[in-house]
Amino acid sequence: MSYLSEGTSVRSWLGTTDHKRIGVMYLATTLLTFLAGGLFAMVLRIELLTPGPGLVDAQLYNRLFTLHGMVMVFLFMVPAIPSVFGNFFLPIMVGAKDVAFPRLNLATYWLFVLGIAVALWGMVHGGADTGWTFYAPYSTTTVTALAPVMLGIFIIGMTSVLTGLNFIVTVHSLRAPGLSWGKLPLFVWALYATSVIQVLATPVIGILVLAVFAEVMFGFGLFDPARGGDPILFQHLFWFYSHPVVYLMVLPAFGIVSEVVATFCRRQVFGYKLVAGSTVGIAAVGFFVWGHHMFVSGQSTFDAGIFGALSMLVGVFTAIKVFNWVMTLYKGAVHMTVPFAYACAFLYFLIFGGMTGISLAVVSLDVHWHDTYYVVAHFHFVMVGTVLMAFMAALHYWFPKMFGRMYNESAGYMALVFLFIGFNGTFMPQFMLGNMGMPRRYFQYEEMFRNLNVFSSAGAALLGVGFAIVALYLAIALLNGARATSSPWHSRGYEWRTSSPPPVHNFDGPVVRLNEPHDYHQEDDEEEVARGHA
Amino acid sequence: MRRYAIILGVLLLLTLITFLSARQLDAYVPGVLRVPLALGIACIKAGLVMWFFMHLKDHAATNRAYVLAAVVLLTLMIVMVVADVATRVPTLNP
Amino acid sequence: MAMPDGGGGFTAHAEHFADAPAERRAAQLGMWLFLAQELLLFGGLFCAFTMYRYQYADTFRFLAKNHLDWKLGTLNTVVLLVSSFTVAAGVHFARERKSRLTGWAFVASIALAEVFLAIKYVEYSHKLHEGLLPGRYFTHALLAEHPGAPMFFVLYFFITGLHALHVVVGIVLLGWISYRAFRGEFGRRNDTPVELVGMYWHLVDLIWIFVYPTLYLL
Repeated sequence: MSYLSEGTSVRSWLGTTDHKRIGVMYLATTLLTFLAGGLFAMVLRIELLTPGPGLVDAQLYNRLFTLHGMVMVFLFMVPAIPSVFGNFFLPIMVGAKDVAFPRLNLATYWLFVLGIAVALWGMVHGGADTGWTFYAPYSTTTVTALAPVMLGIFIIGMTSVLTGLNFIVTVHSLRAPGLSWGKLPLFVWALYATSVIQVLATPVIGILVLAVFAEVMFGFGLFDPARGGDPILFQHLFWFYSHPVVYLMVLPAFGIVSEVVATFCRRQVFGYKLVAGSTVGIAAVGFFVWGHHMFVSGQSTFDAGIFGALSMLVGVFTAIKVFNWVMTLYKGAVHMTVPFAYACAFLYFLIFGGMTGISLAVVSLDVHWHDTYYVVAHFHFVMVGTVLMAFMAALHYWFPKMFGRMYNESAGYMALVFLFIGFNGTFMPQFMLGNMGMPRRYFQYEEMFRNLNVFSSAGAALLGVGFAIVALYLAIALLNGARATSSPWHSRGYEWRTSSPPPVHNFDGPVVRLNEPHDYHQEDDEEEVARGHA
Repeated sequence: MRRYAIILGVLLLLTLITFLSARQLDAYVPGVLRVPLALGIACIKAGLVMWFFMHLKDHAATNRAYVLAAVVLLTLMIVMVVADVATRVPTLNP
Repeated sequence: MAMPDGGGGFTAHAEHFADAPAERRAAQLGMWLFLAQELLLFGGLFCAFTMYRYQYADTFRFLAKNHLDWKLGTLNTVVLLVSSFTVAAGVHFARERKSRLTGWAFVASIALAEVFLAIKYVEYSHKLHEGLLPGRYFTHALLAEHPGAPMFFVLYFFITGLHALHVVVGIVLLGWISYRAFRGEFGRRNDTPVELVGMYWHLVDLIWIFVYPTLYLL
């Protein structure tokens, strides 16, 4: 009895403690928030087709990019991979029946929904126009009502902490007998490192939103120079969380790519221990570099120097991973499939996104690029090009496992072409725009930036088409796709050893861990082949 | 139970030392030592509460590692923020 | 290696755990993770305080000495330390399956917590009286003389207020455990909830251990 067919009432879904159903609910929710964030982006790009005022006025433009940023970062990027694929697959990958605290898991989901409701209500009703970074003192003195937004973000932050907590305890306490840390799938390592960041970094943004809330409501003045405060303190506290948060977003993506590359090269990732170690390394180093967002804000040059130097370390760990993935391809039995194609796109975008990040970490260069479109292009490359592509790879890789259906591969490739061309078209010009000096968050711009902006908006349109195609064929597959076997990709990852979709308690029999994940040296077990497991 | 009572006694004694050194006997304490002494004693008190009252001594090493991680990060945050304000110099270009 | 288990050999446990001791260890780790994040939550405020203490050193020292009642602060510190002791005793009794004693120990802790809040109330009303309130409600003449003065009280109220909120939540949790303890639940069932609530209460004490010297003495 698969987890999907056990109980079909609304109540059995909304009140479920089954981590797989909770993962599916998160999927539905985050796809909606992604749609909302994407729509806001569309309006922005339409506005930017013309140098002068177009569709919207300045105030509304400010509110739109704030909405786009806040929705995309807090309501989609942070929760998406961990809460969807982490929830679904972490217990299965460690051989457990569920996460450590299933009821807490359900409560966390509903808290997430509450946080979305409160934050969105605040953003739409009062209208936050501060940018997603809501810097004080503007955020504490602006006429737009920021208080409910702060509350919403606080609630969502709590869900991030609780999810991370649940995952950490799961990995420590519920591993199947014989499953040592050295045999864990790389996605599990990634989720573990992500969870550590979630637990340790999130409270700092928690206290910051409380502080902003207090300033807005009671005029506290912690960051207001008129009351003796320092705006740079806001930035220190903000980026202490928000830099690790980008690694929180990207580490699960790295984990997914490790799984996908291993399956479609039919070998475990080259240098498993280095990849696992560099995952933890990135999580650790990510806490030491936050000041590189503040080079031109007024922070002392002493601090700036330290942060700039430390930021280079992250590049080292990321490079280790990229080299290892590429080495996995070498002499691997490469099978081209849609998920693998997404993983390849990911690698391409990571090179550009990562390298431009390193260039931004150089203080003297950042002085020129700060608050221009160069930065915008950089973070979209790593967030959309890397994290979102990995999300799509995961969706296409695990769709058969989660829903027991196969989708149309040709449609998958077609959508990817639109997404790849659309993405490059949207964000490559933005590097050039930024270099030429176009500032970010401006709704009007000089005539000389027009052509690149039009090009960028055209790319965005292609992106939209690509996502629409994906939505279409996945919906069709859900309703009418061919039934999937338990291992349609012939993967030897742990999650493929159970049926598609998995049974309620994840495994039909006792969990037997014979080898390491993705061990393709083992002979095909005839019985397993017959059952479609090999 | 006796152990808890002893720890409580130590905690109360340390509290007494903190407040004497900061208020009544502060003339005997060199200025530069006041802050490290008070905070150092607070750290010892916190350590005693965690180690004995909260049984960190008996728990798995993982739990100790996470407490340490939180302390390290907090120290990092405070050090870099204070270093910022301590090293700001007026620039030549206003 | 000490292997803490349910004490007294409780065997009932949730289905997905291997056995009761494993479940207990998981609960302990979960609670420590939650407490670690609480440390960082308050840590942000301590960071702010440290920064402004550095910038407005003389003002902060002057205000701590003359406008905060160190006697009440010290008394509150003692009250919380003793309450930590009574909670630790309660957890100890629960482990020995002495449910009623647990109940009484936790009731004593609640009483001490309420003394703490009462003392806080006295301090706060004193501040209200003098106009030493945070933000736009600061109406004391000190503003003119010492630019860092309002900031001191912003931090004072934010830190002690957030802490007091945690005390209130703690009282509710202690009450819930006491209720269950008097019904004899911890004589026949897993005492993990007692330990977890106890750990929360110790955190509340821990925060105050740092608040006291930072705000009142330095």
